[in-house]
Amino acid sequence: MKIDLEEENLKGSVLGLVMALLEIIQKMLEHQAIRRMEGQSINDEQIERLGKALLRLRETIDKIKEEQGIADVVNSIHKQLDSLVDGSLVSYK
Amino acid sequence: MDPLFPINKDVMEGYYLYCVVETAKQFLQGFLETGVEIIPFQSFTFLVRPVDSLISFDDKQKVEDLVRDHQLVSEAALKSNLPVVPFAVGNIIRGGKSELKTWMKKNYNRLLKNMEKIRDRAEYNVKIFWNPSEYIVQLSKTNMELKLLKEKCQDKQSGAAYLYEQRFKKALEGELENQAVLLFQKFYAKIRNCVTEFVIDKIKKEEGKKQMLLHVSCLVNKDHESILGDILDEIEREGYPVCFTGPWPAYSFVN
Repeated sequence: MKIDLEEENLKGSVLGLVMALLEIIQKMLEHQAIRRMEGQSINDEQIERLGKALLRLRETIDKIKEEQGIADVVNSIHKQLDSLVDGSLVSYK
Repeated sequence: MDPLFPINKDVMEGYYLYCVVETAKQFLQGFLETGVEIIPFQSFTFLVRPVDSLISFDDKQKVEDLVRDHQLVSEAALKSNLPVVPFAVGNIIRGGKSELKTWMKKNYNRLLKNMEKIRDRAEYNVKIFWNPSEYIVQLSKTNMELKLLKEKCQDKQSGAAYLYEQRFKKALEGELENQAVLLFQKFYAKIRNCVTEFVIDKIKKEEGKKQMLLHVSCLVNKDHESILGDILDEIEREGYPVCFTGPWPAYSFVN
């Protein structure tokens, strides 16, 4: 499984990879939170606390991406990961 | 400018394969001046070019030129209105004419089966698009779940509002996906009846308003081409832009 990272900008590439993985984790946590909301297994106060934490995480990730100038690197990694998943699904069929 | 196919007459690598046509040699005109050789073999005529080196795919410009050259020759053969089995880009039979004839003999039956498949047929490419934004406007008026979720985004404090916003986006994506699947099935069923064979091609994610909904290569009997065209015109009149191209050499349907 190969993901292309730029050798000339290793710090940016590694940070980009970390941010991409963080975004995936954040999406998974949001997905789980939404499932609990739909299943009504969390109350309004919990929704508010969970939402605030996820919102803060989202804002922090966006801020780091902007400050480090790695938004394009992160997008590129997401695209590569999407291609890997698509490829695996095709092979599975 | 480097020629696409530089020929060193003292070094003979092989023959580049373009396509095979179901006809006698004398019915194919206009190729000799391009350097393409027409070689008869039993009931077929092969369009080939002698080459003195294998193709390197490292030079992007050379590869683009090669693809263009390959397409031009195959499409010119198709204009003869004779059955044409195209080869994929980049095939070379190594050796001289006798090696080429050995290859032709070995693969004759396979080519014959391919020829039977595409005789009196041609490949067409169909893309159908839709504008999801128009559907979202419709949903905002008719879908109660989405309306309620949208209201909750506005009512709540920041944390809950954020989660309700994500929930709204997820529900909206679900509705769009369902509608896209329904439309795909509807159009596929309409097209299916006048097509001999399908290959579903990759859908490219478009930016902007127009999104690709269906992308297929179709093998169509020549007398069904107008029927397919009428069906696609009808789909376009319903509000779904259509891109319908062909006939092409049947690259997607030959082995």
